[in-house]
Amino acid sequence: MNIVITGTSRGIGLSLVKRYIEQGHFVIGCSRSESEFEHENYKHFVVDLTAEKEINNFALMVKKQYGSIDVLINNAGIASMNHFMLTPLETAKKVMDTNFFAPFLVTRAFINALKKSNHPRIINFSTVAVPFNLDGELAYVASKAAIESMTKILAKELASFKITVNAIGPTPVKTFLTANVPPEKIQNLLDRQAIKRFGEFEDIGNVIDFYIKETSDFITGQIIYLGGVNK
Amino acid sequence: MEIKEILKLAIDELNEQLEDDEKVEFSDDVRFIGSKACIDSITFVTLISIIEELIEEKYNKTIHLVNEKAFSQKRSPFYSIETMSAYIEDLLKE
Repeated sequence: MNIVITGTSRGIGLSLVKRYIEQGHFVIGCSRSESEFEHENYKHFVVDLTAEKEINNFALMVKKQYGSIDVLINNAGIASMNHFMLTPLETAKKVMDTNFFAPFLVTRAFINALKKSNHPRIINFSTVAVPFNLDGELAYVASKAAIESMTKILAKELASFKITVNAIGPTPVKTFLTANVPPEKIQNLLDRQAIKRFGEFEDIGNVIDFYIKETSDFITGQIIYLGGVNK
Repeated sequence: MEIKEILKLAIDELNEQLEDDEKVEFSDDVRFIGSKACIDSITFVTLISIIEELIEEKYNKTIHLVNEKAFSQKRSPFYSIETMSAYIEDLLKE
């Protein structure tokens, strides 16, 4: 399969690149900077996901070089942890730009390439912070709640193209996004899960493996939270 | 290739996906939106997507037909083949 993943320079994105190359797929990734990762089955693009033209050019180049794509994983995201009263408008907009408008634009840019696949899949990233309505992360949670709505509505609107759209809501995972969160705050979050541990890259890959299987044609509009979290 | 030819190709491609009694005629009398529209909203989305793809192939340029400009016009650019063709030509000049 040809798999496009956004935000592949590090963290979950990079782990997914390695996972799907190991499974024998061809992976196309992008991030704001060059990637240090090199592999014959990996192609990296430098893209600013807040710039619509750059996104469209990225999709155009991918379509020209690889024709169809089978899976789009909207992984790129940023976090913002601050009390509402301490969140500047610019910060809130930046979070929405990267976490919501970028997947919106990337998805639109790749629809035609996805339509050519026999089992086209779109995977979005939410977070357990949405069902937790996590205080102190308003902009981040709002952007991910928007992603959940997008996932459910696109599932309906793209069903006629046989494209399934699903999301995963990871628990905290040890990455750069959580590195600066105070340990007691993380522990407090883990304590609210049914299974009280950090998520691993493997846990995320496992859910995505399920979504992208050929036999998952009838699975769409779903949000799977890790760790036994529910809405 | 002229835009009208692209629209013709797009309608041909769309017709391949439609039942016999739903097929769209390539004629300037055909309406794509409004009360006299010959296609439903999902088919309209499919048509837009096919046109965008063909333009990308032929002109090596990505355009989104449904944008602020389309909504700001008095008469929708998607009214007929003639209006759609003129609108796309404008977009390609930008």
